[in-house]
Amino acid sequence: MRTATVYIIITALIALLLPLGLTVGGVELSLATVADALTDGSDPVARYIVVENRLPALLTALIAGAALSVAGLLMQTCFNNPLAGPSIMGISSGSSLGVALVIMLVGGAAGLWGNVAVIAGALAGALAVLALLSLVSLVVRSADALFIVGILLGYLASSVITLLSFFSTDSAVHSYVVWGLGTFASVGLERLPALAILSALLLAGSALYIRSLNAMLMGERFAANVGISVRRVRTGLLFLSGALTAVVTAWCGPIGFIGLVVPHVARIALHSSNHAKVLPVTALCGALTGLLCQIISVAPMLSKGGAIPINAITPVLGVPVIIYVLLNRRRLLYFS
Amino acid sequence: MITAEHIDAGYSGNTVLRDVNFTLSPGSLNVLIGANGSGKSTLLRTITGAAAPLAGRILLDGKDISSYGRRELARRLAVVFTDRNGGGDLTVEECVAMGRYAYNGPFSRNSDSDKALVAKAIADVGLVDKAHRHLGTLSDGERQKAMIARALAQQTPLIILDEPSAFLDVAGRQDIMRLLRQLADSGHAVLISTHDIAPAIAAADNLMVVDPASRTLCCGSKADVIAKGALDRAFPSLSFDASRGDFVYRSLS
Repeated sequence: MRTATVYIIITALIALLLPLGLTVGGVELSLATVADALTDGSDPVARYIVVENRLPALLTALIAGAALSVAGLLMQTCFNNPLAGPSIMGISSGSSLGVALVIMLVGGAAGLWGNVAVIAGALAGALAVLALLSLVSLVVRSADALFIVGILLGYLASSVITLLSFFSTDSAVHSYVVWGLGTFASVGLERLPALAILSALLLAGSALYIRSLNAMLMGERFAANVGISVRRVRTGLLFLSGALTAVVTAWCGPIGFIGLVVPHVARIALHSSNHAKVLPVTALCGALTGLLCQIISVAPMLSKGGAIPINAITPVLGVPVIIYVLLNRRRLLYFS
Repeated sequence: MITAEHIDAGYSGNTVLRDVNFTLSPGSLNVLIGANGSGKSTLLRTITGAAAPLAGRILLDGKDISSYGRRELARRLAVVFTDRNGGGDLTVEECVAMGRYAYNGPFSRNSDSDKALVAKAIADVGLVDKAHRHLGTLSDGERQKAMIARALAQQTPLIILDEPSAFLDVAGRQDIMRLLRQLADSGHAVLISTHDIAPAIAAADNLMVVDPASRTLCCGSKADVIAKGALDRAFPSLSFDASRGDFVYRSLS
């Protein structure tokens, strides 16, 4: 009953916010104009704004929010650490390093090939960190130690980025900083299918691990004893969470906090850590959070015609949740 | 049935126990006793296949335990630990249902017969009225029973429990020991390691006692092992009173 209620509320909010999001932006449009633009498109300007601009940004927000949130959930269970998340485990930093190398060493992100190079750089950087983590996981048995190695790799990547920034031109540093602010609006209609397909495949792959994730909640020894190959599962979860993060980072820049916060919201809403319920609700709740961030980012009263960087919004939404979780550790049963 | 043949148990080349031989037969309650640091946990890790023996071999149903895959092993051997890592907001039923994982694929739902086995396991440990309660809201004893129910749902002939009565009060210990006795009587081979000597010895068929001086394991029927003085050697500062079935202090100084 509770699960059904949570599904209904989140789905209803998405259904409500999605059309609302199409009306919000530098040019305010009525719902009737949006509906017209989506159907016959008699007003070409409105059609351009809605179909070419706002719809891809909102769909990207939905997809990226879901992908990052599920990545965070996989990491938190895999490392048995409620503070694990894509932006903490070095994977976002790896992506950022890849992009920094492209922008500052190879020479910028302009044009089609520049965009392709940025995406390739982000993917390569994330995969490099993943490969290192996977290698370390062959030697290090402890999830805690692996978690710390992830954080250290993130620091190393940040250190190299700082060095690159020091030796780069002002314009290259500016390009990198702009990419790092995070946006759902840079994915146009033409690039959206690739983001959608890759994310959908990886999210479907995550569903394969529901039983293993539940067993991992009870500890690695428990999981092994009910027939789970812990090392293989951990490698699979690392790959999936890393690839989900890499895909989003490549298209939207490093987006913080969503992956860390949303799994907690899902668990608290459901009163359960059972991944058969938590995983789909985390994806839905992440999509809703992405949508909300995108709408806030372009809301005229805040952005004054521009767009507030997503990374300026996510901590405002996320920090209160994390503080609530930490203050209520004893009451929230999933810690015990 | 599980048989240890001349095994040395240890880690990183350090032998903790040497030349261990025993057989755990169906319908027997076997109690492993030893001082802290004497190698009980290392031996359990070795018996359960979590660590390879430094020498010798462990045969499970006639096959070397290392030749079993994870799922195959999970259908033959259930282990109950006392550690609490998380999952406090899973219900008893959800936790016990994990005992069926070894029988199902990643996408398959538990069948009606799986659900019936889970319900029976919960009933067998007396937690029917708490089946939908979260693990984090249970007492230590109830949580331990939930873990035993998971092992029962796993339908293994062999159940191993590491300190099943740790953290329990006197009544809880008695309750768990009674439950383990019932499991053995219903045909399971049960092995427990414990510091809760008196109730364990009272319930046991066989004892396995670590001799810290020789780093060997004295195994056999309860009467034989007590008669050999193995319990006195396991805890040199105490003496075992066979008539009371418990230790008495030799000296408090």
